[in-house]
Amino acid sequence: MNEEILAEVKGVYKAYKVRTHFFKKISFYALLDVSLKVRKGEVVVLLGESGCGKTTLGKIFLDLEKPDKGDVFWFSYNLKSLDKRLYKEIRPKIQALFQDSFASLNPRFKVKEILSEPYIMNFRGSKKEALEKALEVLCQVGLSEEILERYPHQLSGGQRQRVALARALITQPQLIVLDEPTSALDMTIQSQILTLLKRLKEIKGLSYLLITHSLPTALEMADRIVVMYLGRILESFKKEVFRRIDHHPYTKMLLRAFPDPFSENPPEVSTIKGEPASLLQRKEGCEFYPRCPEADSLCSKERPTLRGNNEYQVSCFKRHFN
Amino acid sequence: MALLKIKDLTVGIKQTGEKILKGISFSLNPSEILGILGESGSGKSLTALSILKLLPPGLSYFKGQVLFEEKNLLELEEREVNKIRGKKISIIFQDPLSSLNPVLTIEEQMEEIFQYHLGIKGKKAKDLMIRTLKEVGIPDPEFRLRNYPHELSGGLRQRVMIAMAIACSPKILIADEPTTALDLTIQMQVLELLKSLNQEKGLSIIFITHDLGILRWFAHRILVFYKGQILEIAPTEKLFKNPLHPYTKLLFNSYPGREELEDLNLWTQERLDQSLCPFYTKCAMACKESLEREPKLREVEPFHFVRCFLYE
Repeated sequence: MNEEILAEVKGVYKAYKVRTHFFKKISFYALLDVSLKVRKGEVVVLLGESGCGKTTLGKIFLDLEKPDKGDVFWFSYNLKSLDKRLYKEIRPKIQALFQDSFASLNPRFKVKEILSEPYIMNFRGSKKEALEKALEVLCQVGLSEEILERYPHQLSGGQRQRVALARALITQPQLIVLDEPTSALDMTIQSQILTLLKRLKEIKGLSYLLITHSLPTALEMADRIVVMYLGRILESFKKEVFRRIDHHPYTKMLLRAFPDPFSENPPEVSTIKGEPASLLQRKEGCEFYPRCPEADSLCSKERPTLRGNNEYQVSCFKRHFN
Repeated sequence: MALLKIKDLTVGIKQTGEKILKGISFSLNPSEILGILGESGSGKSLTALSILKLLPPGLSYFKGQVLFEEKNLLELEEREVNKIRGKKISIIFQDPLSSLNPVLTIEEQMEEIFQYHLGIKGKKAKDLMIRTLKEVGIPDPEFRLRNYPHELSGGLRQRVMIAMAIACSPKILIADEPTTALDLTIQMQVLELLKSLNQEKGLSIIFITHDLGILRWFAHRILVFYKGQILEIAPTEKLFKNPLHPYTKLLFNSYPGREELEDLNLWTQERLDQSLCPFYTKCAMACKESLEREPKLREVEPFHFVRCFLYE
């Protein structure tokens, strides 16, 4: 294997504490033994419902959260032993784009300041250079020059998301973590942003870690789809094999229940059993066991691990590989 | 006979006279699920609110009628509307946490409804509550009655909202994006519940959403909204097989995996001359007429209405 790995997490655990009572705090695991690689030129999609830990995993990839256990690698440097100077050098290569563009842009900055600040910080460029650069990335995201003098509140949601993307691009990243980049936008605008992201990826050879709960978005963008549930990876597969493999029971449930407007088959709702369990009361055994139609006694006692090959990995006792 | 008829409903800003809803006319048939499709700002939620006379401050009715049981709701006194709201026509919203009172238990909030609309109190009301909660699929209803809203999961909260909305067996339920905040699996369970209420009790539903998949498999008939106007009305299957209006086509094509949209200047929010075709600046097939006058909603096929010059 000589594919270049841009970022990787290995055996990561992350716990948070919540106060359930005035005197009582309990901790729960948002991530449980998660390992994931993002290779150069690849779009990895984290697919999952709310509370499954996909955003937490994204934050750990960005080094915005430190894992309790396990390692994070950027360009095969372990972040734990990385010295400060080198860290500063590679930090700009990994960027982020979040769902709420209004919250991620400084309301007191004009667009030109929003864009030039990271350039000046990271490349010690002059203001003039930064402005030139800003114009260049603005062009790449399909905005025109007059936007430079505006404040975030003067822009529409789609324009703001483009500005946030331009800000990520100005430091010439190799990997961008996209956390629900289109869920706050209208459908026609969503589609434009996705098209833009795909085009930028081709032109600049970018890699994405895309976090989403939307199945069509995942299938549209992904090279590899990683399905998460209650803080664990249940399944990870390459998009080419999507139609061929025997999916994890959870993914199967999602696929069946998904209302596809342009298919001939109505969604099957009767296969859905119960609701996701609470993270606070994690039980023994497979996370999906209480809702799983295929579960047996083994599933309630032991937790399966992720097994499989390069194309398809699954964490389920009922799936076998030859 | 239509259950609810809306005629030429026009709503706007009182001070400036600017119109936000322009001549909305449609009817809701008994036991029908009517879907309203539109992007944000298209006026779909405002339509729901204006049916129940719940306009936000600053807005007022310019024209039109909302006919329900041979009465025009817009002309009724507030006292009379209160008897209809929640009893005969009820509404549920996207975010159940902000529509439930956080300092009252489920029992206390539900009791209010029974007391106000039906005059039932105490043990009798509690029995009814338990029955309604069971009906919407809440396990262990006696226990849940003592809970506060924050103690329930998102799916349960939405079910409680539905239970409160159907407590008085209304004829019409208006659902404004009721499942948008929920996860896919929970979303489908809630939709299934609404569907069964529709089939078993004949509840008519006005369902507002921007989600194509839900409308495709849930609504019987769909209205497409754009900038405060209805651009297309068609039975669901017909609309998805053969969308006629350029906007509807664009909306369908923007579904992930369908077609790559070019950068149309779709986000521009320029104020249009209000008497022209609302879509003409973004229309791929814009015609000369759209610069001169406004197209009318026309029935081009049986039950299929379009507002576009291409079909005149």
